[in-house]
Amino acid sequence: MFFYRKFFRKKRKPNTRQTKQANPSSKQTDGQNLNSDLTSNLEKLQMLFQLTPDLIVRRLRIHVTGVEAALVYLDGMTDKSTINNNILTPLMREAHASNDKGDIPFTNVGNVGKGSLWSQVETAILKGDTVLFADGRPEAFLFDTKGWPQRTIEDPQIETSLKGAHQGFLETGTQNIALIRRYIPNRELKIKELSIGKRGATKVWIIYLADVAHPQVLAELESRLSSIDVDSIINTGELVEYIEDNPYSPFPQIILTERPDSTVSQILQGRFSVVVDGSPSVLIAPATFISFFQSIDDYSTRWLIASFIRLLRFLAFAIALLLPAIYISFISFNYEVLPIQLLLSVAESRTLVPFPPLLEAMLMEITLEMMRESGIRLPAPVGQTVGIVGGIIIGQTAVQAGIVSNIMVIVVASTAIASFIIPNYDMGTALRLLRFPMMVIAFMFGIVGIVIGMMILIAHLVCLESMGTPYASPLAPFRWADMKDTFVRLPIWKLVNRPKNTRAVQSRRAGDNRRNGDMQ
Amino acid sequence: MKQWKLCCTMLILAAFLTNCSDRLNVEDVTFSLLIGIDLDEEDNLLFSISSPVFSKEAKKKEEDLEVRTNTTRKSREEFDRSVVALTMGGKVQAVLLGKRLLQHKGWFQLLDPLYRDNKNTVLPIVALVNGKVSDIIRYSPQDKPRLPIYLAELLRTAHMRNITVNTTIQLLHRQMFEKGMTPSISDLRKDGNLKVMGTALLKEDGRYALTLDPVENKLFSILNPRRGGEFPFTVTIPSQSDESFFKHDKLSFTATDISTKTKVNYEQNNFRFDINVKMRINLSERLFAFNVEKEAKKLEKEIEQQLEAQFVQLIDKIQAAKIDPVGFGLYARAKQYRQWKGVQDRWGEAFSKADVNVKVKVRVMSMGATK
Amino acid sequence: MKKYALNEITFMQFIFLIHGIQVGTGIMSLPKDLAEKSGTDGWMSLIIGWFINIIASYVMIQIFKRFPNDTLYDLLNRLFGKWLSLFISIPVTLYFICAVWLILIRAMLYIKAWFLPQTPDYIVVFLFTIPTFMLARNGLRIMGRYCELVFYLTAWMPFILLLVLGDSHWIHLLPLFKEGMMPVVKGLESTIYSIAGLEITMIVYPFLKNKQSAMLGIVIANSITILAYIYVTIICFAFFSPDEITGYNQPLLSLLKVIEFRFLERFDMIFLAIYLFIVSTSWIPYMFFAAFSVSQLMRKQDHTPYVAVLLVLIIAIVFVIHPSWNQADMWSKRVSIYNIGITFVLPLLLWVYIQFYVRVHKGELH
Repeated sequence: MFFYRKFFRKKRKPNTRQTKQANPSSKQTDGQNLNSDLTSNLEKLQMLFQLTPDLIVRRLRIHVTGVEAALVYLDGMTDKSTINNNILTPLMREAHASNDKGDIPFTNVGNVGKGSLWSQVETAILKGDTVLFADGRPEAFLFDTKGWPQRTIEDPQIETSLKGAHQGFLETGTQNIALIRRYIPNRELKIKELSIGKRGATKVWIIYLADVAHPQVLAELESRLSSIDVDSIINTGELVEYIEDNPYSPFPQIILTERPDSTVSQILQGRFSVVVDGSPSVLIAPATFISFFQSIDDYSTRWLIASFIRLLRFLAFAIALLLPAIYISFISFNYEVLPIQLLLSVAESRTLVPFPPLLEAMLMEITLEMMRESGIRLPAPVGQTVGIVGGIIIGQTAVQAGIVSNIMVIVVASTAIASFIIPNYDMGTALRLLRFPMMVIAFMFGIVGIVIGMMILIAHLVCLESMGTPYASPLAPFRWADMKDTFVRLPIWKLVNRPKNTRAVQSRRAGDNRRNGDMQ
Repeated sequence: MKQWKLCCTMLILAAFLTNCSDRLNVEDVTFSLLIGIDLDEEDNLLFSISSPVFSKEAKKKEEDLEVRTNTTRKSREEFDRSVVALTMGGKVQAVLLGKRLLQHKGWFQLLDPLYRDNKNTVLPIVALVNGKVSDIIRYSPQDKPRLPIYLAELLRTAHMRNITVNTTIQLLHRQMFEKGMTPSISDLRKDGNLKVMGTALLKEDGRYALTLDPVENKLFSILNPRRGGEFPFTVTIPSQSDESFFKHDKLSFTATDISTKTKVNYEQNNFRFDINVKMRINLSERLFAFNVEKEAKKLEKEIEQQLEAQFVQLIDKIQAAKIDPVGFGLYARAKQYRQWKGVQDRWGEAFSKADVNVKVKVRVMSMGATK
Repeated sequence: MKKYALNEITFMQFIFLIHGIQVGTGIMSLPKDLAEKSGTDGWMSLIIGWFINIIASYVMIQIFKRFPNDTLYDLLNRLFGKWLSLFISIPVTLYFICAVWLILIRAMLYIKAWFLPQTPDYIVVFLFTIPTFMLARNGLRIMGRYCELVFYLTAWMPFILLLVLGDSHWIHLLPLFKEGMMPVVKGLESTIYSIAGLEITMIVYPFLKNKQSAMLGIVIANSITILAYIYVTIICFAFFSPDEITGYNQPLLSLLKVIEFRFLERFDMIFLAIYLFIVSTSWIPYMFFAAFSVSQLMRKQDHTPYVAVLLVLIIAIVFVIHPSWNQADMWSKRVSIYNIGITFVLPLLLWVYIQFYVRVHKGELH
């Protein structure tokens, strides 16, 4: 069983799967300087960007000095009106567009830089900047003219909320940062920029409160992010797989969210969030098991109701995980446990079914999973029909045909409803998956099997860590102070301290805002 | 990775190859809901069961079976030869014992598998059947639910009005083994339909001693420390007797908040039990004219006398049979341990010589809606 | 200097670790064992047991106070040298292995008797070994977390017993001291198997974060355990007649059989199945200590392989000898005696030795 450990403990050394297949063009351009001759520069450029029809090279003559120049940018990645109005117009028409001292030309663009290396020029063009080559200068000017097709801010799709903000993250990293910063206009909100991927060079930002978050977690997160060796990161989900503690666990160890408001609330608690450019979901670490059961709505509804809903979620978790397994064990091992009336009706409905209980349960559960999956892929209007087909036709007729017992249908249906209550999608899917081994072990060993299954699950949860934080906290290690916001949510003004499991350095939140007594 | 796969296959193989035998799907089980033990005319042991049938094609709701064997466990084997599926004792609702069986010592040992096998339940109610057990097991009333459920419900609700005791298999075990008390079980008869006769009291060795009718059973239940349910009484008040055709000297009431205090003394080589019964009563029926407002004390006094007289009768009856179904022996052990130790193995006899005094204290709480 | 700092456990974890180890399968038959020896006064033996345990742990703490960074094995190495220490450390290691073996066997027998009579015993043990391996290969800190979590998850279980109070007869408990003091003292013998577990203090001590409160932790853990035992014993004594209780092998489970709800009957089955969690907090830490001890004997840092080896060995032995209830009872008697040696005699001897040792090696300590 030695290999067991090898399997479950991920080795955190730089990824060996992606061996050093360095980018061919970067090899050519690394460390090469620009030429001062415009024509040779443009030739070199043409050579670098072969088969790039969207590369626009606009040759021009600067108004006063008459210097030959060329403006280079990628069509579609840039904002055309900025280029036309704020770069071309000043350069070609206005007298003071450039001076001879070689400083940055007078254009009406906010972010202007200089680059003398080919690699800089290349990245800038690929990122959507506009590059100005001028004859006789061994350097180029880089204008920030990024502008690509974007969607407008919409309601988050997966994590809908009743009372939370109706703004979801977008595909543009900088905008996402803006969405976050709007909630915390504070100097201590620090953003660390990293870039991941040899080809994609995806920009990644770690956002945290410098005086609250634990530096050790930051160091851990940073080292994990920087040790990723990959072509490109397209989605936050990919990134998560590279940095999570135990990739073989079914449980999500890092929260993925598309809600700026919940991201901010997590940052305020002392966690770290990572924004990935190009992905509308933001990663939050360290996460605990309990944090997947908290939703932003909990904090905007009345605390009694929020607590009730929290408890409901944990109940739903138990039902979704165990109900089919318990049903199987009760009808094939431990029927003594059922009261006689119930037992008689269960037995009566079972007599018609030709399959063993496990097969019966699997049949229904898999049908359910397929319906759920097809519901996601289908366009919304068609998705409704799946519900009707699944609910009425399969459920009703399967019972009538004697393929499943009607109690099984009830069990599966309640399981499905229960698993929808889990606010976090990743935790919900983990649950869907875990149900199957539970059913199998219940079928083999009855109620003992379920207990052993739970024991394995708890053992796994206890061993799991997220960025060095115990995953099962605040249950194991038990933290009484964190219980205020675990199974129940006490009134907000009672939650004075930040949760311990974030390892926040500054544990006290803002002071006691509760008015005492009968004061106006 | 290779090793992991090996591990996986090993695990699955190990699990799948070897286990299967404990699984028994619910549809493959015949639940014996009633167990009957009786003696036939030639004194052969007769075991019978009643179990539900689930098939839609079957006309009857139950299948009943009767076999002649020596032990309970062997009877299961016999049942398995003819019932639809495998017999299981885990859901027994009631155990019926024939009166003929209870004429002999040692029948209790027959119940051994009910205690020994962990799959079996210890909560079925035990009842003595005045008559043949098979008559009851064969009985399938048209206007009632399944017989086992009907029977269990009947005995349970009868206990709620204190018509009979509620002795489960578990309790019977305790009563049989406890030296300081003798068993008491429900008494059941079938003439036409099922009828609960009251409580059958057994001797220390399990033989049948006597039956208490529902009225006596209420008094008996009052003495019992674990009492529950309702205690409706009807007593005759002698001072109100009149000559009318309908006897108008009756008074009915429901007793609540009953408490008993038992004192044990040892005097002149005999135990002496002083039992103080306190109860509060609510009148529910009064056939004679009486000013309860003013003369409550008088009424209380008379009720007390009536009840005390009934208690004396009950205790005389019990002592004559040399049994102790109430468990006075427990008090004797707790309070007079030395004396108890000497007589613990023949407690029935010692108790029959004991001096038992019951004092009743009644308080009228309400007279109802009318004067 | 502090080589165990990485696996430091908190005060609460220390309490629940000891408590978890103490409460195992013993509680099921404890009321019967006590009733056999000392009648209805048996619960008083537990109080004496509590007191003796406190004394033993006091001695242990006194020893390890002087060597706060030593486990028992480090201490033995220090006192007796590398090879001579084996004379003590090997029996201690064997004790831990026997303890794991015994608890696993008893748990397996319970599960087989109540749930899976037809399933081969080694399969049942194999089932137990999966979570055992997952946990015991980690450090002590994980043990602590697991014990803590299981304690909270199962803290509701004692309250279930209150449901039988309506059927209990407190009069059974009277008179106190029926036959005098002697039976109460005799009953002590049957409690040893159930209250064993303090010996792990000798290994856990250096892992403790807060060493000043070690004694307090032991007292609390011990008190929780003994209270649970007294609670169960008294309820069983009140429920069963003193004449019948000795007829049950596991009075606690027979008592639970009586509990039923409208929606759930046979609560003993549910209870026993969930009780497996509590038993697991006994065998899993023992397994950790056994593997840890073996790794100390082998002078290796990593104990993971030994967990695997021991578990495979246990399954193999079960496969070969198929233990029975009678054997298990016999073994538990022997392990009880063994436990007296480890928990009471060994610390006392060590303490005496250390008094001399300290005088001789005055300046050399620390």
